[in-house]
Amino acid sequence: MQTVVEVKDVVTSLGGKTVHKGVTLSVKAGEIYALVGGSGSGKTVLLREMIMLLKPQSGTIKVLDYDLELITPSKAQKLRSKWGVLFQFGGLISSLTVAQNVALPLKKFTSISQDFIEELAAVKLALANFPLDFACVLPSELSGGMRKRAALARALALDPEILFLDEPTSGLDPVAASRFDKTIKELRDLLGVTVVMATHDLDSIQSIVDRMAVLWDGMVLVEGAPGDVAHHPHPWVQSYFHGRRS
Amino acid sequence: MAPTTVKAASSEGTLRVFLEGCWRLNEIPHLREALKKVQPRKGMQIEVDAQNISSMDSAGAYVLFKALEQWETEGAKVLVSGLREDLSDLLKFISQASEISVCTKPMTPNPLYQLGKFSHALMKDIAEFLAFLGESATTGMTLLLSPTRIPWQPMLYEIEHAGVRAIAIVSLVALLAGVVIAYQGAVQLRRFGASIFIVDLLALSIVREMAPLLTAIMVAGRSGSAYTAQIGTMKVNEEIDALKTLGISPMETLVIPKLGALMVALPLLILIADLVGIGGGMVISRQLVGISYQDFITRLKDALPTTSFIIGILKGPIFALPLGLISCFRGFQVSRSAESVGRHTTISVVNTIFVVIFIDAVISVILGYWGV
Repeated sequence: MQTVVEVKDVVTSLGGKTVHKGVTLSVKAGEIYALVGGSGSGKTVLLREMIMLLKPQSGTIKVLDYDLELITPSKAQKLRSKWGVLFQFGGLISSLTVAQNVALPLKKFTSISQDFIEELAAVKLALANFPLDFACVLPSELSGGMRKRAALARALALDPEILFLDEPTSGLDPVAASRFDKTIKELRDLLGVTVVMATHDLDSIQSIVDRMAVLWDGMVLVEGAPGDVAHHPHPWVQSYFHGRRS
Repeated sequence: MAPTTVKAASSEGTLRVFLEGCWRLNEIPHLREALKKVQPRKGMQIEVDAQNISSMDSAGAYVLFKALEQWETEGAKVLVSGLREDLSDLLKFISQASEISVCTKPMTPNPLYQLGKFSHALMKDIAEFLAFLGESATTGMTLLLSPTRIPWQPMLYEIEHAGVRAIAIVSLVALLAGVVIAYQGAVQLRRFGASIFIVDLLALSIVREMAPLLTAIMVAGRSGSAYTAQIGTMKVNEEIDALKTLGISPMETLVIPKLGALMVALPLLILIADLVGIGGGMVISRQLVGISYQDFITRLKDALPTTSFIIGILKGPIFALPLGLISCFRGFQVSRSAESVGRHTTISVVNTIFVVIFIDAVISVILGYWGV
């Protein structure tokens, strides 16, 4: 199967502290891929490097066959329209309503007429399972779960090939989290989009994730299907999969 | 890859429509045009052949769904064949999801509605400000009754920031004001041979009006806006709520030190502005109409009554109180968004400068009535 994201020997240090000592992993088309690791293991940093918000000190990252090190500004712009990003706290523009947030990329990057953009925005919100009664509300008036759904709808606006999700279920109650997982899986099945997410959530890993990588001490400890990773003997992996928190 | 097209051919009451290519977002305007050209007659059968659609995203599926729906409402019988299974799942999902459209344009309500909304907001502002005023007054009184609780340290910090660090810019503005008044006055007075009265003109206008007004406006722009933005940002970050739940009164820790600091700093800044402004005028007077420094100072003693000087200085605390109250009040009104901080900071600066000038006008009228 085609490789969509390829990370090779990535070394990152932030503020004098080495976060990645040589991370190598690959994400295949159409899969739901999870980056797992303890707090501070650099999974969000790696995700931000994949979406060109940060640059690694060395190593290569290829997304959809574009080498992010060598990419030109115009190609980078093209690449940005092929992915959607869901930030941990949504990253919705606070001065725009939910519907305007979703319509923003459509208005900027397509020549579609205003009334049809409005209809499309509604479709995207419905795809993300966002209650349409709240579409004309400002993000500050939404609950955390609704904000995430609105942000997911905006990430879907340009019908991306890859979705990057940073902690998609953090801050959601277990019921809302499993519903959000279901939405992500539904979108992957319907649209064939590849999903890369940084997460802690064991439930989402066991229910929707196809493959995962465990980051430990700046390296990929193990990569594979959750069922196989769970048998890895490393103590962190063992306590992650089999430990009881409460 | 086949180009993205819509072809139609009709025979014996049946319209056959062939759909081909990539039904993706960047083709949407073109596809919508092409689909519009297919216009069935009532009772006609439409056979849609979709087997050559190579890929489709949600926007493409929505366009197709809308076209099928349109043809059906126009009275045609629509049959879709050949659509790949995964794409027909997508089409089915989209047809369930797309019932309503949402408005992304800002509403433009009628003027009456806007007037009502504006009046309501104004009344609410006034009521909230009165409540804020009352709360700050009671807090201020309790602190005055037990002076050990007065937050001296934050107050000194605020005095440094609103007062000491404003000395340079306030002096510069006052100097320029003095220069301008002396320059304009000297030219007029020389024609009447009354050049020495430049001292009266300078002293009275600077000390009574210009220095207090300019200083207050500078402080409103410098510190008032900072207060609003600081309290507003704290509100966005839930810091105000955190203080309240910790049992720390935001009024006592944030507002009172700022109010106190302004009431101390503003009169002192006005005093500096008086000196620098008159000094600037003095230099210009000598250069322009040849009044020596000695003559200037001798005349100044007669020209400037002590009451005028005291009135000028007293305007300091009189301006400081509403200035500090309004800028803190607007900060507390911020709701939880970045845009709200910016909007309230703007309102705060406009309000404070207006109120300062308004109060100055009222004072002038009252004092004029009393003949002071």
